[in-house]
Amino acid sequence: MPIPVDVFLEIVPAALVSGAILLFTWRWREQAWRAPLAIGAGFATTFVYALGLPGWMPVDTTRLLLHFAVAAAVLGIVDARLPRPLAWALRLVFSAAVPWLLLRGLPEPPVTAMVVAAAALFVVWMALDWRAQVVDGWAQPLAILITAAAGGQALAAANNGLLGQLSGALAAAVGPLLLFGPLHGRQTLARGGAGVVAVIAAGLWMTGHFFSQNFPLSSACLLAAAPLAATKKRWWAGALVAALLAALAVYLAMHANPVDFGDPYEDYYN
Amino acid sequence: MHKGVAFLAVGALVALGFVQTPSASGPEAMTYEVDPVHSTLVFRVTHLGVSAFYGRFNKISGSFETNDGDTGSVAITIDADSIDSNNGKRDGHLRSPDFFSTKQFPTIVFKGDLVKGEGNKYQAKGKLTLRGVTKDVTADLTRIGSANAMGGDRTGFEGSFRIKRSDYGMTWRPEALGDEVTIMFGIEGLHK
Repeated sequence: MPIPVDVFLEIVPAALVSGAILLFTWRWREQAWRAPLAIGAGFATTFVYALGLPGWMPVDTTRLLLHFAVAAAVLGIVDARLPRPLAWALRLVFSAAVPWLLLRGLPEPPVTAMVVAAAALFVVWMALDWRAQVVDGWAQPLAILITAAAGGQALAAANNGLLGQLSGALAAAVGPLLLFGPLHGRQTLARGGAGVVAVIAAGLWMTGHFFSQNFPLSSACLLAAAPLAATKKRWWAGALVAALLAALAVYLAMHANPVDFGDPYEDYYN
Repeated sequence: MHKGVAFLAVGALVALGFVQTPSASGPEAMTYEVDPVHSTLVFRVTHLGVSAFYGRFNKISGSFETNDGDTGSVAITIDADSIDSNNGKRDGHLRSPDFFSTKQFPTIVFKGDLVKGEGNKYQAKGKLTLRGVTKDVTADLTRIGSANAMGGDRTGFEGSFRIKRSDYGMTWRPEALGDEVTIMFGIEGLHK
């Protein structure tokens, strides 16, 4: 399913809000809380713009992605001020809570999948945070942007316009970090930003796989791994590896949802 | 003497079943099970504001109860996964969280009461649960007829009602698909 122009335009506010926050908090550019605030607020803006405000505990678990983004942003903002063991413990709690809250909405909640997804989220979160401490500047935001943009296309290919749009919102919210990166070489997603990205992305890939039609687990795993490819010295190599992994994820999603465009009855544009 | 004879005569007629005595519970309730082969549910929604598009659900189950009097009850379950829009790709999209989110909400349920109106007109007033949201709806019905055929007593209704898809959390692309959806159905029941 191609992403319609109006759907794409609803992604733009995420970039505007994220960019404005990074601009107006420039004097605190050494602070780790800027990135989670910008990414969380940007993503939340497009979410609310496109879908409206969900209730406190929405029945439709897709709506929980906003709750996850806000909660992860709040945790990200305070993460650097917390003692490391406490910050890690909170990450563990978050990692367990996200799959549990999401998947309990299914008629038969898959307990094993919840445990595996929680472990995977915690590992990716810690790995992304570790990489963020090594890879500063804009190399990691670039890998995340590539992954989220490709993830949007993969989700859309698996008949998920809404999730695809929200993945685009994540890409758009991360985008301004690329602009500010060259101006601030020590900009980092460590101790905050990495967590917001990990939680939002995990929510998207999990919802895509468990709640939609034919979003392959292989695509979800590739998209989870792609941002970890960012490297410090050869930024282009990291970006290339991330792009290849993300492209493979898109291919697998499209392969799982073939469309015969020669057949007028399959020529579907929403 | 005459009173005694009359009493005996009436007693004998009642015993023989010639005189119908009103039962304490009123007219006998007739419970019908939905015949999925002869029942249809179609929905209508506008596309881009330029046309009316029709789709259907292929699996309907449930039952309804009609009294010979003025009331009854209905309980219908629709398999949301059985949505059919004559396009496989679009069916996949309709099953996704953008619309019916069938993995989380596999069924659409209507439960309510039947109320008789003029002639063969009825109303079904009850609650429709769709995508985890329950709201009151009223469907206008026409009782088509009744017959004893194909394995038992059968009766059938047709009717329709309207909902707003946004009321049930289906807010995806209101500029492409109209918010108001008309549901039309024909239900045939077989007496249990």
